Amino acid sequence: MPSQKIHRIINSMGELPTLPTIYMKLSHLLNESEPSIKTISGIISEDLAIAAMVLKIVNSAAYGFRNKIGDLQHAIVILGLKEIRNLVLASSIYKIVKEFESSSAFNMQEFWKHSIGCATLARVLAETTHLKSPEDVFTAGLLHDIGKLIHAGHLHEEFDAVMADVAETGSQMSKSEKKILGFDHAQTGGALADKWGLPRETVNMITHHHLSYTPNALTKEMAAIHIGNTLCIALGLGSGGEKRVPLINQNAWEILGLRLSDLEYVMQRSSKLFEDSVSIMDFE
Amino acid sequence: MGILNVNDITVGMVLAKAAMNKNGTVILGPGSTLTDKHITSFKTWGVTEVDIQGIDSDQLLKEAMDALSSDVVESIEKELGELFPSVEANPVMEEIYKIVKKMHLKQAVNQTSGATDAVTKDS
Repeated sequence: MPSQKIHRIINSMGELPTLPTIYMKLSHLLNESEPSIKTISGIISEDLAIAAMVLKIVNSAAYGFRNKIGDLQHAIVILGLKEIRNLVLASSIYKIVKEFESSSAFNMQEFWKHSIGCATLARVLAETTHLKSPEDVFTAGLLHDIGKLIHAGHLHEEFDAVMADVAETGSQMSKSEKKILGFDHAQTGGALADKWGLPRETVNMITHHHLSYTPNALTKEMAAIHIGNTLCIALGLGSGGEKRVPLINQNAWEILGLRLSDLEYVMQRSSKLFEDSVSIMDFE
Repeated sequence: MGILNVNDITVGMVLAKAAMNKNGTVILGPGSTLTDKHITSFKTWGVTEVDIQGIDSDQLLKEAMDALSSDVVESIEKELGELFPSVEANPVMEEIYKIVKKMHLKQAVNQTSGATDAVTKDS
């Protein structure tokens, strides 16, 4: 499937979800050598819902502070800029999800949870195997299935046909999509991430999260998203519409280098973190 | 490993490792014999699990799982059988299946013991 065709489709779709301005501003700050806490705090304060969530998270049991932290600047120091930026992204995906007319075959709430679940597992995998930027892996995990939203919102009939095919045959969604649309949600998601100007690595992690074949430039980060997605489906954390657990690509398993004996720890810890995130974000 | 949930520990048990909260702060050192006061303070300080000497939590779990009714085990196996592809000759997928099954069984055990506790309290 030539990527030009997907870009053409993406461009013909008219109104696409956009990355929130606050996300862009925070990303911009990350490129500066020493962004000031005051500037960050100023940007976050523009969105009261985000500011409130940042405070709620630092005051949650997971951080274990005895005294309540009421000062946004203090909270920013504790959480860090990348973490906050991911929070902004997670809550924006939720907003996008809420705006979609939910088709009966596709539960948007479960979809959002699946995104959080995959992101959490991928980050814990990245941390356990000492990858250099677990936060970036988390970001890609949040966005890995964003293509499904585009299909659900812009290709209604085809999307319903895909969901019906998955229900009937039990095949992987991407296989049904390729059969019906000629391309899959990973490619659409990658094209959208590219259009958003996200880093090449993030685009690759989204585009290749199924790893139905092994690309030449397979990275540990791509493996983390792929394995995180599989584990998320196996654990039943939310649902992206798949009926069966996909198989893990053997090359991905080898390149990530996780010990089999560490799997249980990764899965247990991620499940706990997932429950925490979902309850803190209060979107239930 | 003898890791127990704080709700399952009793006075007189001995800590195998330091008890810590989620933040990694040590609440009580290894070798301490637990008192009522300790157990209360674990709960206050957000300690959720502790490592206890001489306890085999895998063994405890296994015993609890053996006590589960075959109906419960069968329904878990059926559900997972539909969710998982064939995991034979695939060590990674086989391990994932085993862990997920263990987590489901553990949850079923907790639900059963929770229900028993509630009944005991009521009576």
